[in-house]
Amino acid sequence: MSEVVFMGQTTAEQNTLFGNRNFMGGNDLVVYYVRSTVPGYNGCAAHPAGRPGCVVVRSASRWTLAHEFGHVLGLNHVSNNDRLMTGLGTFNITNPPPDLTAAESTTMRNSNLSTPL
Amino acid sequence: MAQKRTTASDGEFNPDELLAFLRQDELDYPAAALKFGAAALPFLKELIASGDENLAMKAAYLVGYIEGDAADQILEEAAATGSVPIRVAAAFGAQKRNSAAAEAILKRSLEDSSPSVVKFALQSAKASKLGSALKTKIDHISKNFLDDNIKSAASDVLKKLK
Repeated sequence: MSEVVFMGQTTAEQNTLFGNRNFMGGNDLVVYYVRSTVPGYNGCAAHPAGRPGCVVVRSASRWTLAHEFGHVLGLNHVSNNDRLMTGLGTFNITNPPPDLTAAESTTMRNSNLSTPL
Repeated sequence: MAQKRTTASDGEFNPDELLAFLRQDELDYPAAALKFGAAALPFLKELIASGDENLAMKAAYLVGYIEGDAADQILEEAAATGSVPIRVAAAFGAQKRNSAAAEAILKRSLEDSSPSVVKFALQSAKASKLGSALKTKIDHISKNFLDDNIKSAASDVLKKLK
């Protein structure tokens, strides 16, 4: 049960949670599955500097994990339920699988956390 | 498709809009409380009692941001009978209620067996400056709770009272 705040800020409790990254490299994104957040979200992409990752609650939608990854890799919300980064709720996505635009894909590839294969 | 519901005192709200809000990933509860208001409380109470953990949990948080006696009553019931995520929501929501309502909720939450519920009940007791009123229960937690982190948190609240 973790208290959450918005992007760019983390609580002491989040800092403790994100300290659990045994065997992970500095650029590895770590996902923490939790029972719930306080207040209740599906997920949260806020993370301490140098500890990239996100939180996903157990009752989240099947797209929440990818949505939060998008935030961590630099994407913002859009008002379009056809797209992964909809700010209107990934439960409300209308054409699964949801879309990523070319610009969003480029932003993710250009993230410092992305590694060319 | 859900239909609009009305109440005599609080106007009407659209349940479809409320459900769409609750299905969001990151929610602006204060804005939603202003938008949907007390008219939505009977529907939110139904959602809290539903089997959908995600909707029930978010409904409980939204009730915490809506003012009034009816919301107080729903939170008090949630603190007593909900699942752990709902009981945490009630304990968290207590800090947004008036002193009497918060105390009624926290009296239940501080007797909870879940460390998560008690943790947020202690935070709300501190935030609501109800530590003195709930001192006996907090003292009991500091001495007897099974989880050492919670015992320590209760001791910290007591120290701040001195």
